[in-house]
Amino acid sequence: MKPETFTEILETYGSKPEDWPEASRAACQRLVAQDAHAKGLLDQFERLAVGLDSLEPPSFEGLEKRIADQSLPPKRQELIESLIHWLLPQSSPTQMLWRLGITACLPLVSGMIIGTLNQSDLINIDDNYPYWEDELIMLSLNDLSEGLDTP
Amino acid sequence: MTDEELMRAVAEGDQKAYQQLVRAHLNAISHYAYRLLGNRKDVEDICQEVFLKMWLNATSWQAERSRLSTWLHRIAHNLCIDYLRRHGRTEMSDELPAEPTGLSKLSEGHGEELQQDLKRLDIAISRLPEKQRCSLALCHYAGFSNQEAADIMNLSLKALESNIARARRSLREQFEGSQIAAKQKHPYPQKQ
Repeated sequence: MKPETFTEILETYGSKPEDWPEASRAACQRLVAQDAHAKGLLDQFERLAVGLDSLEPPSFEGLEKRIADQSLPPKRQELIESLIHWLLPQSSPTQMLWRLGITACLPLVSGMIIGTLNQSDLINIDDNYPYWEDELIMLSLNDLSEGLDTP
Repeated sequence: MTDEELMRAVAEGDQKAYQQLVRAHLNAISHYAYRLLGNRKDVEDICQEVFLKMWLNATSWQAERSRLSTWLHRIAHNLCIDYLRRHGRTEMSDELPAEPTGLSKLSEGHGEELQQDLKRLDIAISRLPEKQRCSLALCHYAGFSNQEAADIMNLSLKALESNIARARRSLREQFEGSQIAAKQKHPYPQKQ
C-alpha cells in the first residue's frame, strides 16, 4: 500500500482500524508495522481523535424536562392520512386485510351501480311497443306497397 | 420498548412515549446542534423544534428506511442549516461560549499549554466550513457511518468523504503544527 493511500484512509475513516474499509485493513496494519512514517502518521491522527474527544459540549440542564413537558399540539390528521391509516393500520396489518379487500372491490361495486342506473335508459323503448315482438308484428301489418307507383 | 413501538405510540398521540423518546435522543441531538451552532440558547430552541416535529410528523418516519436517530439528526441538521443561513453565518463565533467540560479534565496535570492547545483546536473546528463541520460532527462525534452521515446531509458518499477528509486534514495540520502539540511527548490520557 502506498503511503498516500494510507493517508487518505486515515483522513476519510479516522484512526480506528475497525472503521477502515475491510478490504484494505490488513494492508494498512502491515504498513504501520513496517513503516515508521506510517506509524507516525497514525499517531498524529490518534492524538487528533483524543483531542477531539476531549472537547465535550456543555450539559444542557433542565432542557430535557422543558422539552418533555412542553405543551404538544393535538394530533390533526389529514383526510387522506386518516384513510391510509384506516386501510393500512400500523398495529396489525394482517388482521385488517378485509379492509384492503373491500377497497379493492369498490370500483366493481361502483361499476355495477352505475351500470344498473344507466340500463333503464337503454331499455327505455316507446311505451306503445313495449316488446320487440309486438313491434315486428305491427311493422308486418303496414302496407308497404303504399306510395309505390302502379304501372 | 423499541424506537419503532414508541414512534407508533407517538403517532397515535401517546405523550408518555414522546417523553421516553426525548430522554433517549435529546443528548445526541443537542450535542450535534451545539457542534454546529456553538450557542446554548439556539441549541435549546432547535432541540425543542426537532422534538415538536417528531411529534407532529411521527407517521412520516419509516423504520425500514432509516434509524430513528438518523431521522432526528436529519431534522436537526436541516433546522441548524436554515438557522445559519437565516443569520448569514456559515461559521460559528470565534468566541468560545463556555469551556467544554472535557477540556479541563483532559488537561488536568498537563498544564496551561495543553489547555491552550485544545482551545485552539476548538476554535479551529468552529472555523471549518459548514459542511466539513457537519461531517466531522456526524462521523466522529455522533458515530454515524460515512453513508449514514451522507444521507443526513443529503450528499453523495463521495462528497461526504471529501468533506470529512478535508476537515481531518486541516485539523491535524493545525493541531500538530501548534507548538504545544509538537512538543507533546506523552500521549494524551484516554477519556474514561
